[in-house]
Amino acid sequence: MLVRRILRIIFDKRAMSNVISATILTGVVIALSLSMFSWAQGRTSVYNNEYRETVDAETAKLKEKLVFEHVFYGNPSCNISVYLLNCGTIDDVEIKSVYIIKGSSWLEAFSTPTLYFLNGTQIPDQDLDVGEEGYFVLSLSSTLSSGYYNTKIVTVRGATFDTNFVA
Amino acid sequence: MLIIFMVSTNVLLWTFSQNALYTQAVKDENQKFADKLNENVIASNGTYSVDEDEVTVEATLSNAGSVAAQIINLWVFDTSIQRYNYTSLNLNLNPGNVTNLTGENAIMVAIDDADSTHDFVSWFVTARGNTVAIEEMQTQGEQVIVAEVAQGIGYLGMDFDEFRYFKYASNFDLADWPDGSGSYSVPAADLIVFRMKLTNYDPSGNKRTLSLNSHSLVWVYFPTVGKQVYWYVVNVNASGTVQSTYSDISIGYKETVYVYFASSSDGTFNGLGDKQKTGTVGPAAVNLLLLGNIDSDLYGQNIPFVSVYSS
Repeated sequence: MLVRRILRIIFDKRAMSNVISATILTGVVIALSLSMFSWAQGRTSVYNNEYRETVDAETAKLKEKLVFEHVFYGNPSCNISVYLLNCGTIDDVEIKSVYIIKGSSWLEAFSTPTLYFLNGTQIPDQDLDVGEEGYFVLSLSSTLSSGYYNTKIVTVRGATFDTNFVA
Repeated sequence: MLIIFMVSTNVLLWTFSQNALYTQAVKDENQKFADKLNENVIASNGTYSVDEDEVTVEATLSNAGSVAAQIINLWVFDTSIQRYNYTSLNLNLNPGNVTNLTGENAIMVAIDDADSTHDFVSWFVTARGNTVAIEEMQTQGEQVIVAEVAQGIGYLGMDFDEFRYFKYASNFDLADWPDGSGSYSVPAADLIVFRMKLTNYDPSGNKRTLSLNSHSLVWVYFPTVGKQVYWYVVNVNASGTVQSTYSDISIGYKETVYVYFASSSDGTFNGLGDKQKTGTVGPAAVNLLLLGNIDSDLYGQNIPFVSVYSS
């Protein structure tokens, strides 16, 4: 009697299918949850990294401050000498491009001008650290007519600085 | 739902932390910008003199702002020849501080071919990136000098604060070099040398150079006894030794020089025999009789304003 009962429990297909189906269902749900969690975690990680990089870049840009100590046009007549001081709070300020502007139109654009220390030696890393001073010389393709001009500097981080000079 | 909640919270907190970082950076930059705006250094009483290619800039710096300021550079631009140069400085000014960059504290900047007849502009640069232009001593100072000294009396002005006398340390060497003693009270019994600080303020507008010849002298007159003594102009070298022969002293426009009077002989100084003393006790009038050339024209001027007490 007892043996029969045990055998019936073991070989009762109806009970087995309920347990197996519940186990399979739970496993699928857990697997799906884990995969969804890991996917979401991956996506948010990417988002977080992008956001952090954006914030870091914007913060670095914000910390850049270049001031113009002196801008001189002439000697020889097609040259503009621009003397700069990094008075910001971040090192490695690199100049990407310089524009000479009159009114609302660009006259000439220069890419990555060579930076020199004020004593005339070339700056090895071609950037200005905090408190560092340097200058670059722009050779214009033609002389400027007398008037009021604007010099705009764009750094690698995207900050812009500008000043005026009279030719 | 739980996963969505967790992920959203994660993103939100991360965003907050990044925003906080950016906000802090903005606050820091705003503070720096405010400090820069509050920096208020004034450079006044600017004068320029040139010796060979060295432009000497004298000025008074005062910090009228609410923050301490550091001066890192002085730029000098010779507008006459369109040349410029700079010199590095390290001057720190607390709020309210006033620094006189005069005399031995004056700042020198080398500019090739600079000349005292040229026009100059100059400006200081602070560590915060502000530029401070030097206001030349022209408005009030030069009007007074031109109206009351140069045009009224002659081309040269004398600095009363720098009127000095020296005793001798040896036959040709001056004692108390280079500062000497205040001249308004002089010893009657000692052999002495007078020193005047003279500036060429040529008011003609031609910025001419003036030269003093050997006939220039200091003439001291004692009205109570009717006695007079005179000291001819001499050259004194940088170590305070009186030279035995005189060569004309040249004074460029707005240039300031020290001129020494020591000899009883015109054009020469032979030591003991040429040394002079007042030799009288009492008040005396001091006249500065200056002779020479201004450019190619003859020049003569008498500056009579000094008096001394000889005791």
